[in-house]
Amino acid sequence: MENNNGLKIRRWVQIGSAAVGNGYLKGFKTSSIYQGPLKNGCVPFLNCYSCPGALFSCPIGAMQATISEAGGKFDLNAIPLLVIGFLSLVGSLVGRAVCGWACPFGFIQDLLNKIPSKKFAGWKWLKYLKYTILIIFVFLLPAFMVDEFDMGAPSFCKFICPAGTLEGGIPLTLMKPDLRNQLGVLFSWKMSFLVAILALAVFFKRPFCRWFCPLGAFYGPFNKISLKQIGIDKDACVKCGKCSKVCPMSLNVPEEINSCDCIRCFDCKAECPTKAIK
Amino acid sequence: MNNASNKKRIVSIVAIVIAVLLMIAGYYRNEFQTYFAKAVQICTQCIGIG
Repeated sequence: MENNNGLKIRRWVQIGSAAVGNGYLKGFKTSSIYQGPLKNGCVPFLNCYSCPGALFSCPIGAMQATISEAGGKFDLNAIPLLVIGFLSLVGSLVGRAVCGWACPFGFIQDLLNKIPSKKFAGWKWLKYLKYTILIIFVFLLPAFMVDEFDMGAPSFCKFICPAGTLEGGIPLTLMKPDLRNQLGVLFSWKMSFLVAILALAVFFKRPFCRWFCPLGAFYGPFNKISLKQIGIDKDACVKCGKCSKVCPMSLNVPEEINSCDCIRCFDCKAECPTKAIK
Repeated sequence: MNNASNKKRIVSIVAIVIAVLLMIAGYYRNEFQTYFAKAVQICTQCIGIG
């Protein structure tokens, strides 16, 4: 019962945050994007600001936009203090809970994993890929790979982000023929990556969050120091394995309870028969 | 155990203070204007056009 209630609350929060983050319905009707003052602020999760419904900016997009001002050289003024501060504040309070409770793309992967099929744990070493993506595609390439006007590009958005393809690319190209006419190799690559992630999500729990997401990589280390901690009473634990079985990040919960990959969903806590997880 | 969790709490509070200071510094540098300008136009790179 508690498990069901906990899960239901999380599902409703996920639906609510997706609706609030993408609540500009007029954008879908008029094939445009919101241009009002709310976009001065970021949501704490991955949410493409080119989605017709997006009311706020995406923190990863905002970081790259600031860093790309560096113009190919090291420039202190291009360090995105505001967004780094905002994400650090969220991380210091609740660790990676945003991934578990608020991210629409995480929610989609959760739903896809409900499709009955054989499930796989995946490869542990792949989790380090997301840190590489954060450093190379979010920090380094936008700063140092510049065009003829000395402007960097949002390399993560451009080459990888499947949330951008899903929330921005697909609706906008469906609604705007002038954009559709410009589609090429890059869009094909991004669509292939999106389809691959969505297909993988049926068989692996949250493949994008575990292996590719730079925002998860940013939040992850805050799990170690966040105000909201999760712990396990090793004496009360009967090693039944139920917690690990329900973990949406495929963690071995008793051993990895405060690891950088825990998304603080508390599904394990609700499932624990001896209430060992606190 | 209590000592360890107290230490962790102090680290969290220090991190929160640093995060707020970074936000204030970024706000006074008008960083939001940079990403606002990007966010109110369709980002062709973000949607895969380039």
